[in-house]
Amino acid sequence: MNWITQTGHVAAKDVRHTWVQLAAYIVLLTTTAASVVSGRALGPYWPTSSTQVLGAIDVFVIYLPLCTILLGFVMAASLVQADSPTRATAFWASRPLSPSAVLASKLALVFVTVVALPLLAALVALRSFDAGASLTASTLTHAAFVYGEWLMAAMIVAALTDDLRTFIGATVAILVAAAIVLGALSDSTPTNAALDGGAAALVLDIVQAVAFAGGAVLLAYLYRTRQRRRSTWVGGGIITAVLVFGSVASPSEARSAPLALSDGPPLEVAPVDSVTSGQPRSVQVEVAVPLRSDALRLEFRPDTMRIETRQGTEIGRRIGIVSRTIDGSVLPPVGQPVRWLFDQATSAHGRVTYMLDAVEEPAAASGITSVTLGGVVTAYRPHLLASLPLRDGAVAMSRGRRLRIYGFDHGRSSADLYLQVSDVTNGTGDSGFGIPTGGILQFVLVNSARSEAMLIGNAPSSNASGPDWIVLPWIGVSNTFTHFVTNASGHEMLLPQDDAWYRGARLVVVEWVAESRYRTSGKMVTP
Amino acid sequence: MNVVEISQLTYRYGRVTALRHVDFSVPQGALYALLGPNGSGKTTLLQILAGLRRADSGRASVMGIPVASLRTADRRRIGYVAEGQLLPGWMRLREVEAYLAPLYDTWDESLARELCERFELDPTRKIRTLSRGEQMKAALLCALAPRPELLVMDEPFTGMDALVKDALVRGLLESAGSEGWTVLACSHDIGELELLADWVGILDHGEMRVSEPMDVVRERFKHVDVMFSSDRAPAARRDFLPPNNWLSVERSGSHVSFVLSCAVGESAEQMIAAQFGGEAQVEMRNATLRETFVALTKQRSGGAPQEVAA
Repeated sequence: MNWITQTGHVAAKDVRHTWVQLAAYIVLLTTTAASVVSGRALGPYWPTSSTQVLGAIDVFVIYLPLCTILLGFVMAASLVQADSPTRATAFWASRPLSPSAVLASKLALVFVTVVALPLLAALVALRSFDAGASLTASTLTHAAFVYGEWLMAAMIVAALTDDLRTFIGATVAILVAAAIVLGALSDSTPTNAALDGGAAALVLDIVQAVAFAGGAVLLAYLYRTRQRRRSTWVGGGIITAVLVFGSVASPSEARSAPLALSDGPPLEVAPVDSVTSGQPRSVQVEVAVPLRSDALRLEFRPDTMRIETRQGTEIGRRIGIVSRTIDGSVLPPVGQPVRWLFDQATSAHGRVTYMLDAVEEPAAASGITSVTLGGVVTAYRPHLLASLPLRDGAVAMSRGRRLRIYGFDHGRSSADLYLQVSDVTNGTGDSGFGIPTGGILQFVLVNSARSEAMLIGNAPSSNASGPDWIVLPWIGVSNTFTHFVTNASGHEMLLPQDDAWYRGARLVVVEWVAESRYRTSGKMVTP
Repeated sequence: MNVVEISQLTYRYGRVTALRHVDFSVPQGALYALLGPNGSGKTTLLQILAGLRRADSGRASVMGIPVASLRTADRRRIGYVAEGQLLPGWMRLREVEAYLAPLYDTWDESLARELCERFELDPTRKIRTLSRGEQMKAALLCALAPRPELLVMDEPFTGMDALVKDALVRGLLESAGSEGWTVLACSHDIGELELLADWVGILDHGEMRVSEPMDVVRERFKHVDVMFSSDRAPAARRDFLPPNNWLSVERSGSHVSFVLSCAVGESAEQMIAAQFGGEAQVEMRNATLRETFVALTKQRSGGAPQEVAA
């Protein structure tokens, strides 16, 4: 037997050995993928005839993916321990088998079956979101890389332990230790700023790749020498720790390359009612930021403000947490010329509030002469995402999102639409409420026959769930359940007054995709 | 030609030295019995020879090839059976055979069938359902079917009944003789090994005490019974310090027994005559392997001459 046939020979034996686990794994994956494809996993669902739950079914989006990876760990450990590299009593050890062929068969089985099968299931699930090739490839690559790291760590632990029971004990101990250490680290460092940015992500990727390669080398060393000495324990511990912590600490937000920042036109900053008002400790500075574009939606995110006072002092600081951005939106294109039933263009103005601290209050109380505001403007271009009939149960999939109407009602003064948006465009499932991170969604009711349209907006009772998981914990899906209403306050008479309008209408979803960013600032001088 | 060559071999488990500068060799075609008390390092030594452990220092070669350099093709020529060796319990015996057969060019299907019948093994049973003795038989079958040039056996008789042991020993003797196999075996069952072996090595506390042909060992170690006419004879007295080559000395009144260790070429009769002259009645015979083993290992562990109640 040559090296390749030995590898296949051992692998065939291992497949027979682990067929029960493999069958259970396939059943798990099939169940999970089918539940996602059918839409059942993501809800909403009805536990009782009268109760509706706005959320995904945890069994399918939390517990089964967890079971999948736990079973994956057990399978990886079973494969390694079936021909243990470190037990002198191992059956294979005294046989004419090449150690590298035995290791190759283990790695091949782990990475072809344990990793590839869930990726295949996830691929099927992602297809049901109409995820594009780029999104699918990046999502599956990320999941494969992280799962591969965990499985490599599991293989090392399995190689250094004698049996499955010891492996499980060691794994639980490692996970508990990791949770404690990560908890302590998150308490001591309020942000993971050190890990932000593409450079940090690259460094982390390199460290993890080196650890992964180190894990493979360690396994090869163990299979070759069959020695379990102190140095191998230390090496195994370090590699396992790097693999586990590296995959957990991965700054996913840093992996999405932000748009390049260019310079743009200056910002107009205008006073609103008053620049300062109220009592000390609650003095607020308010400015208006007019944003205008005929075709693009502009969003301004302020990050610095400098205030000059009548005392001649200057108050200024970086705005750390931005509670809101200022949108200068335009009415979206809906695929045909339409007449908007009432003007719902959002205000091209917004307000930035600056809370003064105790040191700044006395200076500000003397009066403010000017305010300079700086920040980043992002320009969004509209894309028609989906169009679906305006009826309960209508479903549309487009570019990583699945939209499902789970309720519609209308009267003479308002229309209520209940829409579920399941979004896989983020990968981690960390979505902003109502605004999936792939882009800003806008929802329009359109009656094509009459060439009329009206915008709908979020109602206060909207709901979000997740992030949930698809097949593996590293493939996230955000799931939002939004109650939309017609924003026709004061214009109720302009709403369609006949049922036929709604019967012939469709819900058109427009996605505003970020196209460019530029830094800008503006100065406002008080009278 | 020596099939096994060991020189200055040392192996440590952490701070414990399991083998200390061990030297020995096994000639081609020999049936070598490796004896030693528990913890003497026998299993470690055999594992090193089978390539399951790497020595800290020293040299070990099998069929002229350093153990660390043994290739897959070389391993086909070595059979290894050990107590505690993990057989794949989920497999049926016939599946184990089917798994192993393609790995060996020399796998003998008819020998496998014959051994299966001789050991009364059911090839359709899963390994984990076999008794301890049956599992050892299955392991032996797997090691013998490829007709290895060197067979290394660590406690091969564990769990076997007397009939099977006899059959196995006979079978091994026949096969070894006809096939020219070299067998290296260690066992607590000294009686069985004595029947089997033509070479013997005694390992004690990680050191090789004896490694010689069985004939030489029989000639070198004599069991001596001495009956003095009076318990006041010098050698019968309690304060008598026996010579270094008196091993395992026991006294009972005027009767003294011991194992006499002679150097190669020394005449035991002349030594005894020189020691006692005509003052005592002396009976001397070749020591059994058990007596030699006990005498050597007891001496190493500091066993003092024993008083045996009359």
